[in-house]
Amino acid sequence: MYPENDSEKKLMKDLAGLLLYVLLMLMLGIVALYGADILISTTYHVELSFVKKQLLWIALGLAGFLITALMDFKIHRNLAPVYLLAAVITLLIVFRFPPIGNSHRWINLKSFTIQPSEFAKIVILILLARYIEHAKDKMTSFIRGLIIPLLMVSPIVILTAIEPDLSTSVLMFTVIILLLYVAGTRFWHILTLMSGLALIAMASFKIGILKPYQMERLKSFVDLWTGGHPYQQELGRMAFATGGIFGSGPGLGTIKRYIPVRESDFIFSVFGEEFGVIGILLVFVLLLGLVNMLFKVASRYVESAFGRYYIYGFGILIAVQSLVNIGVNVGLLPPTGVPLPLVSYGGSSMIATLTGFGIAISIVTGEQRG
Amino acid sequence: MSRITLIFLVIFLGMAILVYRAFYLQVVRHSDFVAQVEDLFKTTSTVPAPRGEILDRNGVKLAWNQRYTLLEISGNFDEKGLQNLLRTYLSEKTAEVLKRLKEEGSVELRLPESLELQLYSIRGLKVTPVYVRLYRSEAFSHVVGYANTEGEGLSGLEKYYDDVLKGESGLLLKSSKGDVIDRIRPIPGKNLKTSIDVRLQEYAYKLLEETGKPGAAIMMNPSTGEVYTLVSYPGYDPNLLSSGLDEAQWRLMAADPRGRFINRAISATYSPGSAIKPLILAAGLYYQRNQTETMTVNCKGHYNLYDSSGKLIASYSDWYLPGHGVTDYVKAVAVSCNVFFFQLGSYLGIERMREMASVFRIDELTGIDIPWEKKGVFPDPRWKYDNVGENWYLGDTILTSIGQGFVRLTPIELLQLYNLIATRGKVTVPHILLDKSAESWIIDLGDVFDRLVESLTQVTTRGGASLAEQGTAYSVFRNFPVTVAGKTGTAEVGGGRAPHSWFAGFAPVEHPAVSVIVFVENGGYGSQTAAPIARDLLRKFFELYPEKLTD
Repeated sequence: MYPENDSEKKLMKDLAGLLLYVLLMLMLGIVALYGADILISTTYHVELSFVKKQLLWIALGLAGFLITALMDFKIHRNLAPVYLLAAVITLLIVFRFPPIGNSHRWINLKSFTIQPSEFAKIVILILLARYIEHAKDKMTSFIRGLIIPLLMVSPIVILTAIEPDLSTSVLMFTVIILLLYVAGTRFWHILTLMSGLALIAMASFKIGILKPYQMERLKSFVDLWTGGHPYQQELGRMAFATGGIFGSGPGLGTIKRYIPVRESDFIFSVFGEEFGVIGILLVFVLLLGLVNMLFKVASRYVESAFGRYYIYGFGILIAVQSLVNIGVNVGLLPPTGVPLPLVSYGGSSMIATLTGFGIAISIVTGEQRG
Repeated sequence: MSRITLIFLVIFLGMAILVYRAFYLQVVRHSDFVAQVEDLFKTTSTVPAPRGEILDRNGVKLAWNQRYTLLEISGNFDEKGLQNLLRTYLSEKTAEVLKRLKEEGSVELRLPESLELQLYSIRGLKVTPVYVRLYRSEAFSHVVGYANTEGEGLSGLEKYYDDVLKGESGLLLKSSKGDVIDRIRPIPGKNLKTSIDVRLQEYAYKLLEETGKPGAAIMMNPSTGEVYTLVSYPGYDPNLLSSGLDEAQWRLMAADPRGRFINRAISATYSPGSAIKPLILAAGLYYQRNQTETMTVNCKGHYNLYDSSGKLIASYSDWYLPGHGVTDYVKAVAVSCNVFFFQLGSYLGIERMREMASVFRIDELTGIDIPWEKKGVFPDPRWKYDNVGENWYLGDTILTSIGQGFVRLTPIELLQLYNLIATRGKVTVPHILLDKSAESWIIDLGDVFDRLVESLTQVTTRGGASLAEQGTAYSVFRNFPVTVAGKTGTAEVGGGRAPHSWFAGFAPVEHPAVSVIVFVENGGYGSQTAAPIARDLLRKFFELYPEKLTD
């Protein structure tokens, strides 16, 4: 599907296209956040606090992007174990901070907070890409193609799960499995593993290995995954649906004000209310275009397995995360705390995504330099 | 097909499902959701009703409202539309008002009601009429009372007639976008026309204020029960209370040792002193007619009480220590001879006096139409036993017969005594609302009331060389253009303080048009402080209503 093409001109065109998609997504995010900022009761004394701060996060993210884009991507490959260590340590540090909403997800540095799991997602991609490069002929093996890479990244996934941030850890797991599949892991291996996990889970329920209080704990743990209150989802869907074909117009939504976390988890609903079907289609076009372009560029121009699978993984991450976020917004998935990449308000997500994107760019340009 | 292509297709499929779902919600189910949202987010707000005004008998405003319009931004508001409407009224000030509205989110303006109604149609603007209650002055505080910032009447007429005054608030139903869907207009409260005369009321307040002592004054039409004046000094500024005063102001008002919030005219009881004597005489004339009519005492300034063995057990002084000499009942009232009433009281006994008090309902609520009227006390042995825990002594009877001892009455209760004498037995429930059909009844005591009027007239008309002969209010009412019947009262309060000063009466004697009572706390002799105020009030009354002079 993606025939390789050595022409420098074509590469530059594709890279420009990639950058353009990202910039358009960022701009769309700012427009959406403007809506989240403007509340009807205070139309005339708006501080645009989300927009202003998000611009700062974008600036920091673009700085991260520039640094990684200009760096030699092989450094990341070499530093992968260090990254893993850093991810594990920061995911442990979060437990030192008081929980926010029963969950230890953030490192609080007074003026801002860091969510290590957002950065850990990129670390997972680097680790897997490196592993796949290393074991690319053995991916068909159950152990070496599935179990070992899973064990390798499991500290991150498990620590994220016990924060608890089950939705992010499930998201991570999904991205890992998909990337391994792309890298050649056998489909029936994956199926076997999943069935095995499901059986173990069911057995432990049935046989009653778990004591009642443990069951309770597990149940509340699962509840945390479907964490948010359904009513915010209901409001999100309501705001979204009232958008109609053309939407209420920028800043003019009326239902959005009632949606909790409208600036991050439910930014899509805010955007839907204000820009209608037309605006929503634009979001899908941009998302699909971005993911398609990432896959295309990786297939066409990237020779190294590390580089190619990193970019595939990055594309898969963006795609899956968007699908989950939008699925929640339109009421097809239970409420989770997954942000819409490049659009939702949030520093950690923005900086991690743009830095990760910088790595992808450095891979493409680096390959070309030789 | 490569695996990444497959993954891309899966992603594409996922997106397609989401696009379909989005389309389903935003287009197919759009109207359902819009209806649901309308239902959930339409707002109803109450529109306050203006409170009725309180007017005096000539239409002068005692309590009224200042209307403001509160504008608040409550949606994506139509600035152009507001600007256009406001410009017609505010012209160049419009820009400034809009600026303030946008900066602070709300602004309060004085706008005509017609413009306010037009403002309702401006999208995203919450329009609320705000009424601030205003009052004429302190002089009316105990009659009119006040309503708080929420428009609830808390005292005086404002409380008593709250249901009439407050009206019914309206409703405003707005869509989620801020458009008016429906409106139920508020029903304004009804105006109250009172029988109060502003000029008399303010004059009475001024006269009491000049004494510097707490007191009360009431003027009424004895036949109709209309209250012309009801003053309690000191009052308070109701405007402070209605606009929500701060704590320091409240403390200052509440801490006044003279008690600004007590309505002395109806909510406080005092010894009536000699002003009770007409009741005692009425008992004498009714129950022991011959004895009373023929009875004379030779007043030597004191009254001795002996026991059955002839031993002196107590001696009671007259207020006039040289003595009034030979005194019958007419003179006894005129010169306020205590010795005569000691004698009469001890002949009559407490039960007879108490019976007459019951006939007159002297210690019962008069039923005046303002809140917190207090009941007075006319004692009897039973009452004393229940409340003091002691037996009744003859001394108690003697003190009761001159309005001392345990007798305690409110000025309005005491005035009702004079009203029924003025009307020769017709009692009417006093009222401040002008067109109130007041309950009334007749007390038939034969010609007793005529005898009482005769005696009370002597108080102001009986001349003489000395205080032994002169009516107690003779010098006060000398050369007064109309004959006044009345009685002074000087109630000893003990503790070295000056006595309470009373005067109650009515005029003209034959067809009384007005009755008056004046009470000054620790004001000294009745003739000294209360009577001159009563005279000035009566003079003012006949100046204002000269047609009532024709007897």
